[in-house]
Amino acid sequence: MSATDTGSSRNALCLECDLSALSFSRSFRSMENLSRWDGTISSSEFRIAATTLSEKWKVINPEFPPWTWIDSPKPFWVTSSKVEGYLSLETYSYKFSSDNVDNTQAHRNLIDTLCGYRSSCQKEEPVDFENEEELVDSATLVLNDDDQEELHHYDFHIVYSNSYRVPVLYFRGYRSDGQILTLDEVERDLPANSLKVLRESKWTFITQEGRLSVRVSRSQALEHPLLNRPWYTLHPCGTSEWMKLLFLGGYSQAKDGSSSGSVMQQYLVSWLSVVGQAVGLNVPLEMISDFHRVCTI
Amino acid sequence: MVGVGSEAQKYVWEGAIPLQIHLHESEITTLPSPEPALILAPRIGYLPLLVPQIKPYFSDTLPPGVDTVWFDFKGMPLKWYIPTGVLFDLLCLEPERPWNLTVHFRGYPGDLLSPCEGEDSVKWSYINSLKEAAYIINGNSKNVMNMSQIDQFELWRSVLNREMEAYLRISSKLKLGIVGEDYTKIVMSPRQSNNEADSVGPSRAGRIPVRLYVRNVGEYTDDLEDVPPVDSWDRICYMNKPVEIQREEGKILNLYDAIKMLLPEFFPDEPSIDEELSKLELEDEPGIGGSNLSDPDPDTNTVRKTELVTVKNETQLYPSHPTGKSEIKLVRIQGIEPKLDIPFSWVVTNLIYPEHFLHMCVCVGVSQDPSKTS
Amino acid sequence: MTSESPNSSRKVVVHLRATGDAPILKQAKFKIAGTDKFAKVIAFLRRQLHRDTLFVYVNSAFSPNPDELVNDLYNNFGFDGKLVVNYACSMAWG
Repeated sequence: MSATDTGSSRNALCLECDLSALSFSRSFRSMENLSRWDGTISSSEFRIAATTLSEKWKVINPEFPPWTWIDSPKPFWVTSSKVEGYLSLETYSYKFSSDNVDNTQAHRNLIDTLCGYRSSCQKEEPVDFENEEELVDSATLVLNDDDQEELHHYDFHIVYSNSYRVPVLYFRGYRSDGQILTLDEVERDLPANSLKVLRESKWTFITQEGRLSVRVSRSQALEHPLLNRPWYTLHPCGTSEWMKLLFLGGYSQAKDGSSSGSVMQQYLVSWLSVVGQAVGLNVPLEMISDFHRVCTI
Repeated sequence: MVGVGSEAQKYVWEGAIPLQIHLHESEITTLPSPEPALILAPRIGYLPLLVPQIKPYFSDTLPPGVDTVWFDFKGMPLKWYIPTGVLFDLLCLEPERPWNLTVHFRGYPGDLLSPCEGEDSVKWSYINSLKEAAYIINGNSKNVMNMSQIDQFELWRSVLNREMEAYLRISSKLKLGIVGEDYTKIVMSPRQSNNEADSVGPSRAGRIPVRLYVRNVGEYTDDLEDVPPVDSWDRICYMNKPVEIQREEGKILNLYDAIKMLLPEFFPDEPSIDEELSKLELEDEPGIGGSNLSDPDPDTNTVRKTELVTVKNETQLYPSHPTGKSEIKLVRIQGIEPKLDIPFSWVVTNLIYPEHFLHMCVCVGVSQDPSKTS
Repeated sequence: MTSESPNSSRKVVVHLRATGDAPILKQAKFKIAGTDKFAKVIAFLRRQLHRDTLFVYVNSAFSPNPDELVNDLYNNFGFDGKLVVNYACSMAWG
């Protein structure tokens, strides 16, 4: 065998093996290092977390479309499928309902009513919340096949960002005839609490006129990095900070018995529990409690 | 040297492309047809910013309706958030001057292009990219997010009006400098690998924001003029991938090293490359890659330099490349094809765009039909 | 303090815990009906802190959907007779 033969294919394979082994061993970090973790993950760790999310989702959320791993369609000169790819959940159907149109004011009224409690109490004893009206909230999606014309469909993609080293959510809505929904129309589909979360994801960049219009800042139609088509996205630049808080901000009790390896496995599930709320994707709590009941590491 | 740009930077900032802009025939409602608009487009600028200059040429003839402006080159809609210079370098391989583009004021292809509402959209996209670059370089975007209102306004205006000194003054506050004046500061450790940097704890590695556009020119090795125009963005591989560097003593990282990190598949025999190349038959004629990338001075035009670019591997690279021919033919940055032994730090400092990304157009020859990417 | 059997009048003790740079509440422990939704806790926090933007999560690196019942959250994430709910301010989306 000539030297050139040893090159390419064998090296490529070895490189892949080495890469995944390296990343896996690196992901089993010591507890000391975990406290210095910056909230980001590598692309191989993303792959591992993606597998975990999609497997758990299938088991715990079977009535929903599954999260499927799609290998990245490019680059065109490489045929061996490498780590790069993304998670896709497609054709998630909302029934468009005119009830969802004007939830914001009603929601605000309810909050005001609920929070009439005054914090003058000095006691250490836990105090009752005031018994107020039940919060009427259509926070869960209504799946209804009755009216075909009114059905809106959503695709969600979770893509790894090389720049921010975190996952990014891309989503797109369209009518049954395939026409893409505008952000206004998407907002009308969302349950009230999602709308609130979506509106809170504010841009902090101040222009000369004041804040950029809320509409532009919440999520922007940007290119999906792998598919060359416009999608809506929730911007990733704050993700590492709140992911770090999410994992490390709680009591150390929660951290005992969880190594950094299990952090990486759980990463996407935890991430989705936050991000999903902005787009009406609910992560059942069983998906998380599963990690801690069955401590794999 | 804050506020005083290098000569190369001045060239970059002053760089412009003459455009000849034709209104799409479907939107011409008067006779005779309007003359095309002749506009000088800054390389570091964006096409939508030219609309105020272009519109007067055509406003009399447009059909009624709301303007939704977009451009195409030979039928391919142009992505408005890619700097004009990059579009030109990538799509017009054999530079055409003036560059003939078509402008549309109606019928925005919303399924192919994300919406653009004029200067605000471009500014948003610019700031967004700047934040991303800041994040890549510093690990956070705080400096950009905490800019004062005045600074933001001035920064954007300096980009709009190509005021390099003002730009350098304001952007220096963002602490996005990657190198000092000593161009040897970015070095490569001897065991540089392509793995992502360890994200635990503060990173010892640096990251350079790079946007790579790769285009397959296939068998058209002889003449760039013969390369057919791109008809779809799916034919261009876009990679938004930082170059990761280690700050250690050692070899100086040059452009060749950076490209190898970004496109490792084109450099299959990394450790033994010298050995390998001596076994391979080299082309006599330099070819496109050779003439552009090797030192024109015959004395220094060593075999090594030519080989750095045109590695022809006679055997299979991957199972589905039956002829195994895969090579980089051209690397174009800010309209030039830099020598590959130039320190990467120089390239970055002088050839980056105002949002702090280095945009590189690469033409490769992969001798099989590129699979559709979507 | 709280019994294990589901009961419409059972109260769950919620401990609201400041993390990051969030202000600490003077009164941090509350009882809430297990049958209430988590949304009530969130709404309460927002009112107390006079902030609209809050990042609310439980100890297992999870941000519960506001529709979840406090009982369910307690059963899954509670310990030592209480449900710890962490909150932080200035959560930047990007």
